[in-house]
Amino acid sequence: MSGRWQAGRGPDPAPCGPVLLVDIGSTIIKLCRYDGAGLGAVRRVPRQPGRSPGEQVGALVDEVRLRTDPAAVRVCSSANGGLRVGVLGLTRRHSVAAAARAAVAAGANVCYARVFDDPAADLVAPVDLLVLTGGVDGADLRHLRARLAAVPLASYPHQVLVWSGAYESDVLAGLPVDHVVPNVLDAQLRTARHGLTGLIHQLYVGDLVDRKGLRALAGTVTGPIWPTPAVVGLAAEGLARNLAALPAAAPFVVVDIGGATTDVLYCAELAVDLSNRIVPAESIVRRVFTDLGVASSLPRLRQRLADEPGLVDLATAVAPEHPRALYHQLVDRAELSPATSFLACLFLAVRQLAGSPGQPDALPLARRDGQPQLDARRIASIVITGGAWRTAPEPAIRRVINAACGVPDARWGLHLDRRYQLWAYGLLEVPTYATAGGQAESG
Amino acid sequence: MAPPRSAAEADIEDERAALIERHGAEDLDTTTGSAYLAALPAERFAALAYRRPHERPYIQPRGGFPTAAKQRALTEAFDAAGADFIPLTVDSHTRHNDYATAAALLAASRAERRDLLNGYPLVSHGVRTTRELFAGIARPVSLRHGTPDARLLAEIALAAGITEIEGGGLSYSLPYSRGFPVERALVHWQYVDRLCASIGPAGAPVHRESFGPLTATLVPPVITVVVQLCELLLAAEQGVTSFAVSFGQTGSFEQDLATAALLRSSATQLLSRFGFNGTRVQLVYHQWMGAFPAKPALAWQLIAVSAAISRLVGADKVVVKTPDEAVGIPSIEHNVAAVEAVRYVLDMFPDSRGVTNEVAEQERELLASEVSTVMEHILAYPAATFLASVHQAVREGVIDVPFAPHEQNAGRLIAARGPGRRIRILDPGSVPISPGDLDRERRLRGSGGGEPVPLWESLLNDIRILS
Repeated sequence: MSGRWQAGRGPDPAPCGPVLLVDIGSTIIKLCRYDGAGLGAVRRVPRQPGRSPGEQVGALVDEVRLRTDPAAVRVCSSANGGLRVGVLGLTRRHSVAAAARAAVAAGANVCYARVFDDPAADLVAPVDLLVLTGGVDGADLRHLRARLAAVPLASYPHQVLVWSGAYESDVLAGLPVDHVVPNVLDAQLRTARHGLTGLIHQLYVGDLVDRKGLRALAGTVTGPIWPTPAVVGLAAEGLARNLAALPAAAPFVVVDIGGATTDVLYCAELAVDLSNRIVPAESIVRRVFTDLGVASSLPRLRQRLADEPGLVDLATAVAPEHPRALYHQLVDRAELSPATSFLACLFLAVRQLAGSPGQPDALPLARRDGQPQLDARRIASIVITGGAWRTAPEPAIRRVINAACGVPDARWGLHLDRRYQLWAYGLLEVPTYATAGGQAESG
Repeated sequence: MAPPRSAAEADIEDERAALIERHGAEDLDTTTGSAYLAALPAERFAALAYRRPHERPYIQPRGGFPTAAKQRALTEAFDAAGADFIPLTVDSHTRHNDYATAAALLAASRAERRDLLNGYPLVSHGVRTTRELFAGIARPVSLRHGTPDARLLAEIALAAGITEIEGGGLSYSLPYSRGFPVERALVHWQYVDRLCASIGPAGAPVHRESFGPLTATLVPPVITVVVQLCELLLAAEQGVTSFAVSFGQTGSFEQDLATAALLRSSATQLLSRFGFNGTRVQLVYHQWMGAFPAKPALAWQLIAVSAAISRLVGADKVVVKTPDEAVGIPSIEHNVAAVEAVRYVLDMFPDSRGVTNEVAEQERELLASEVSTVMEHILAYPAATFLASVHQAVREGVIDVPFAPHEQNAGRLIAARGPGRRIRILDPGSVPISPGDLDRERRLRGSGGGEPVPLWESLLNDIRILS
């Protein structure tokens, strides 16, 4: 695995010297050492109740440094799915798509991506950030001004309003914008995501640091703390460029099931309404399910199972020899084994993306007529990562995915991240701009 | 030593044990039913009755009263009147698993000496009392209810010597319930099917019967047949070897002939296709299940004509109505009179099978094409189980029962009557009717001539067509 990684370097090369990689999850802290040539084994340490994650991680890092060479420290942390972001823009294929990609790259959960002219939906989910975008700097902005003036902002509940489009002093007149960042489109209509990605990342990490008590890590970490979903997204982008740790052929789906959330990242060409991937490295779509997790989200998972139709398929896939007993467990909100919890998260997430109609109206890249978002017939590989899958037998994982996709003749390969290293590869891929403001890495 | 259990048997046996233990009745355990059925005389088995040559359809009345004494009186009256099958119709509270209310109203019925339930509260009475209802009766007893979760009901019924269980996961949920999840109903009826398949003695299986009339309101024959075939396959999968498909009088003699012919042929073909060659299929005809005339004279005519049609379509059993249908729960006297009247009519048509005509044949051809398209659509679902496919068909509106109260029923299919009072599909909703068949449906309906009538008025007239 490390050989493949070393062999292909992306635009943001992995550090040369040793690095200690840390992922602070909702239940587990993971540490992995990169020695400049390859990754070591992942050490999993349960979170200590009553102790702030920052303190615990600081102590763990000190412990490692006492035993080994000094190393730079890169940290990522989950935050229950990340910030919820909505995108409203002038054109679906250009400004909206670019802003959605920038938000995904920052680890945000893009709840919807719409154009200004879309008829207002009856019920739009509230978001933390609403990103407005459109236009090209230096071009005639009359059309943009007219569209912006007609946007019914009250129909899109949000906490923070961000402008990431063409800028002239009067463009935003009357709009209560909180942050202005560079346009996500350059003059050639190419994505220029760093301004928006950087802002979302800052807001995200600020929120993360406050909520998780990570300030204690200041001075320990090389560069800023990075959101785990974005890190896994970077690893997925590496997979898409055929550089990364697993021999997973594209187009692929990565499923990361944790204690609090389930993240699904997939190649954009799998989306039913986006058949051509123009920029491979920026074409990972992410969906986060904040009610699907095997630890802190378990009560919500059980509630959802009790209300969910179609669980016979799940019960049959998980326990083909005694599906009735499991079916009753599922619908009666009974205690679930860790393996069953994992498989239930996997089933519900994959089915919602790939297998069943009735998707919400305003999901990014989704068709609006209730058809599946993701064409399961074209999936080449499915990568399972996260700690939860370890208790589930591989045949059951295959059966569950088949049942969720509902495409029995699909020919996809299953890749289990057995060493639980995908996040670590993603953390090695953190762009240089993200670490530039922090402590210099050694070596 | 008991033979080792298969995983599937263990899966349901554990559930049985838990269900019966939770019920907590002293006279019921997991062996009660099989032991009692093993000692039951052959004439009490519906499946064996069907195997005997019978020139005319068997007569099946309905009937249920709260108290055991009144139910016993009804049973004796039916027996004396020559009903071939004895009914036990269950009250509405028990049907919805509200046993506590049923028990309270049973106690109140006894105390106040009036019927406060619309049927027999089987769970409240329990095994021992119910067995006594049929002591000395040499006829099969059929459980008529409408219960999405009939697991406990079936356990008690079988332990009480009832050998025919009506219903199914679709036919007893979509028309009878508003919110009971269809998937759960299908899973619970899988239990009932497997129980029926395994509990009877060797050579005398418990008989299962589906409920074809559904809402009995402008249900196009394709929906009826598809639901019947689905429930037949679901039962056969669980090992049921004696099963009756059924349908209700449509209001068109030709469509009745077509539906009967197609139900029989499709059932046989499907069973053969999936290797269920050991399953025998019977055909049951329900007398008019729609709005009934309130005038007794008209009601009697309808009952007589229905009886005649049951004979002409070659049914194995006819489920009879009474002249009290439009008014309320029938009296014992009227129930008995209806049995006698139906028997009188049936005897007028000796050796009358094989009736058909050109219109009926056209209807059969169209229906066969529609049923084939819908069934193949359901069978093509990439689900792990047929049960899951059937559930998906309901969720997607491929199975769509007009006027069903169930919130999971699509309710998008619209039908109305055309020439000959035949039920025609106006809008199939999501039911996969081919363009060619839909075109035929519309052409057969025609313009209706005369002044155009609003759809709602047309539907209302259709619903009241025989009342």
